[in-house]
Amino acid sequence: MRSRIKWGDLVIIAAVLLLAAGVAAALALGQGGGQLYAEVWREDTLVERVQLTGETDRTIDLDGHNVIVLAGRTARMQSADCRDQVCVRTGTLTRAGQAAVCLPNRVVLKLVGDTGEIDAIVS
Amino acid sequence: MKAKKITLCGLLTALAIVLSLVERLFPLDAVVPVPGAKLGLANVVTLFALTRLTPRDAFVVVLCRVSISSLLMGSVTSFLFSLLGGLLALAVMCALLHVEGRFCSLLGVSVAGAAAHNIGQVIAAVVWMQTGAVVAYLPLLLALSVPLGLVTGLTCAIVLQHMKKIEFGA
Repeated sequence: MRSRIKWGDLVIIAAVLLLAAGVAAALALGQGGGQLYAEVWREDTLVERVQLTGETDRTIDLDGHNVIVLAGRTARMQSADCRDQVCVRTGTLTRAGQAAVCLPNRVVLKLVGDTGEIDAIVS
Repeated sequence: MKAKKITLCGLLTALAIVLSLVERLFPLDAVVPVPGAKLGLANVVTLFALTRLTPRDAFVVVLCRVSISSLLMGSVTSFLFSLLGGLLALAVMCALLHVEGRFCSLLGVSVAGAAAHNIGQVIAAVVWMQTGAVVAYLPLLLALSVPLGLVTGLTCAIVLQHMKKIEFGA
């Protein structure tokens, strides 16, 4: 029967799995591919635009009203002096397209990527 | 002889289309988080056509299968994906069949074909959607192609074993 396993089969299987691991590793190293930027908007004007890399470690204080922490490829609103605290409870932003909004202070923290994000897959 | 060959190709195409339809009863992408993951039953027919007929006949069978099954249940996008996947799988299996028996068995040929099919599909998706983000699906698809390729390869080997008993081929 032609299905008796030969050593070449194992080589092929190993090659396919190695390729899978290689692509996965390349994607992980490229961090999903693409740059990630954190943008801070206040009263409809862009006040900060910071590129997020693995080494990013920065705190942005907006006159004590809002404190934004950029750490690695994430960003979060650490504190706000408003009553509702919605932006703080939004938590940590990790992907392009996410945003933490503080309506009382009219401050928006959002992450943007340089590549188009997929929003639907049509099968 | 020519009429027999045409009949055989037609039979295999019909079989491949039916297998594609049957495949939809097992929506693999409901279990695995990858859109487009399929059992790859139609690959059994491609492999069979390659072993019992000529590469040219297998090419015709793949072309007809992809066109007709896309008309029946797909879209322009799925046609492109299937076409590139199917042709890449065909090319890889055709090349590997030359060393089949010495270097590897039908199982290895089938696994390589399944992997090639997935790579072709992802390439088509990257070109069509103009984004490299689809490549993220490739590792899981490749890992899946090992067990699925083994199953289709084994199926083909069993079919060939039984085919020995009857006169078949052009």
